[in-house]
Amino acid sequence: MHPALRIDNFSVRFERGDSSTMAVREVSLQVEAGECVALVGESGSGKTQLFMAAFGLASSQARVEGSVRYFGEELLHAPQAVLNRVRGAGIAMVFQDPMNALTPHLSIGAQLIEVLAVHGGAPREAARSAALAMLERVGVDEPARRMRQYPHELSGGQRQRVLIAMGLLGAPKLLVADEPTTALDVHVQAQVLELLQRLRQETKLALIFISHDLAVVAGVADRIMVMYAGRIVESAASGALLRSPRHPYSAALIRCMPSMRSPVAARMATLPGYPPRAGDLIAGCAFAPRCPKAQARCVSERPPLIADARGSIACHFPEAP
Amino acid sequence: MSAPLLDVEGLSVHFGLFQAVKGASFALDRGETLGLVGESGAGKSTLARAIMRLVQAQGRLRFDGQDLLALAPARLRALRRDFQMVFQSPLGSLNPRLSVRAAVSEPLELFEPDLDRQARARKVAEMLERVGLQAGVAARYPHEFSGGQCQRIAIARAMIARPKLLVCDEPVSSLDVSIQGQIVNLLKELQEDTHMAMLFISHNLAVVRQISHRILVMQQGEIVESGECHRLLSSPQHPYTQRLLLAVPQMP
Repeated sequence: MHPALRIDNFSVRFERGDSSTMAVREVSLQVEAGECVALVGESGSGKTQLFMAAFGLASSQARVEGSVRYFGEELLHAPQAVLNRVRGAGIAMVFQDPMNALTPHLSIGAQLIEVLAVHGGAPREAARSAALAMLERVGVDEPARRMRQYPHELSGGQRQRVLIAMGLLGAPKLLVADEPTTALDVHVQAQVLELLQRLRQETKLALIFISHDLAVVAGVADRIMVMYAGRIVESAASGALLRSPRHPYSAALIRCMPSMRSPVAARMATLPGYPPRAGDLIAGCAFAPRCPKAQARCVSERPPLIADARGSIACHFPEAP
Repeated sequence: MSAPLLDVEGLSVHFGLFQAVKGASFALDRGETLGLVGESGAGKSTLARAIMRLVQAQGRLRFDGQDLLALAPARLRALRRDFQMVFQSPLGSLNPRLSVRAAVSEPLELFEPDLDRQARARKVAEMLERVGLQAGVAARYPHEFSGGQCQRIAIARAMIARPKLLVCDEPVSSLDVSIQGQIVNLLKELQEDTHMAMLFISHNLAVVRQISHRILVMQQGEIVESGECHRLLSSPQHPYTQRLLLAVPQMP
């Protein structure tokens, strides 16, 4: 059995004139049906670009290398017809900003029915009732009324659920949720997370959860992959990674997470500095300039990503697990 | 006991038939940080905007001994240097056509028109340094900066006239976790320097508890609970506060 998604040695480069920018560098990952893998990292680390480019949604300046296989079928450089068949029906993406991802001048119902028309060619009445049932399933209250409403009439949480419903209408086997709860308050966030968990169990949905919030990720993901400056720097089972991170960057991210239990200090823990820009040339470890443990070797020699029983790690001086 | 800096009593905001804020009452002292929490749509931002006199409100709103709701427009304008605001979207709250220098010096031109150019430039440079930006950034424009850096610029602009009250509406919600602590720490330092009061709005209780002395909990336009930060979070009395605390995602 092939994994739902298998990405090997995947790189994304953007070319503008004679300058070239590496956004994603040699990323490999695998998600099985029913599994949830979280991709964690700061803004600009390449989390979103990775999947946009993998599914042929990146801008025309993007140059991709490697392999992206959906249940064994190669998607990279695949003909448009293959991509159209797979995207939407097999693979769905839910984006972060629920306001901008919906068309403002079409009713919710019209937008949902359109998805079914494109992917199933279902008759209008059947599409309508399928859309209605899906809204109900994702916990949208008063679904019949919502179908007639426009995006601006819905709250952020309701809109995010509509987007999830839209993603699920094609009965995808793989859902990429890009910061799906970042714009939501804690109550709605908890509801959306619960919904995604239920779908994994009910439909064997493979879920990729992109987020910068480790506390959110902790509750949903089986495995966590930490991304920094376009590369995976550590991966492990959620519990192991959160309890005993090996990469100093993972450790710093966890330290920065304010929790309800951590003591209130005069100053919050911070990660000083900023991540490198995508165009920067980096000889050694990209995290070295911000790393408390960095030594001369870290600046000159890039640590390779080494796989082991626990997951993988790219660091010359990792914490002992 | 001196009078509180901000004294709000029975403050209400109506949008047509809808009442967004329902008779809010609370006080805020100099040097104090008051956290304001609640779900989206609870009325937190509307309450903040009412205090800033950006929306019409009824009730009583006393700031530094003056009745803000009764103040003549010219007097209100002059008093605005004393209460400033920082918004959620750091890029959206800066004018894309103003350089950092222009954005940060604008309040000085308005509130300290007698200052000569050199003195103004010096104050801007000092302020940028104070919020952790290098003086070299002054000639650049907002789109050249990350979210965290833009929020530092917005804070510099709000702080340059040395306000007595800083209203922060979700100032870290759109920032990376790694940057949120930097901004919270900066606000704490600025408060220690200037003894300003802060109203800190956030839906992230874990952040609110790091900065607040007291907390107000708002639900459907009403303040349903208030109290000292630690007391309120460790033994919430109102069922809504209890539910809000239960929904906070936990690290293992």
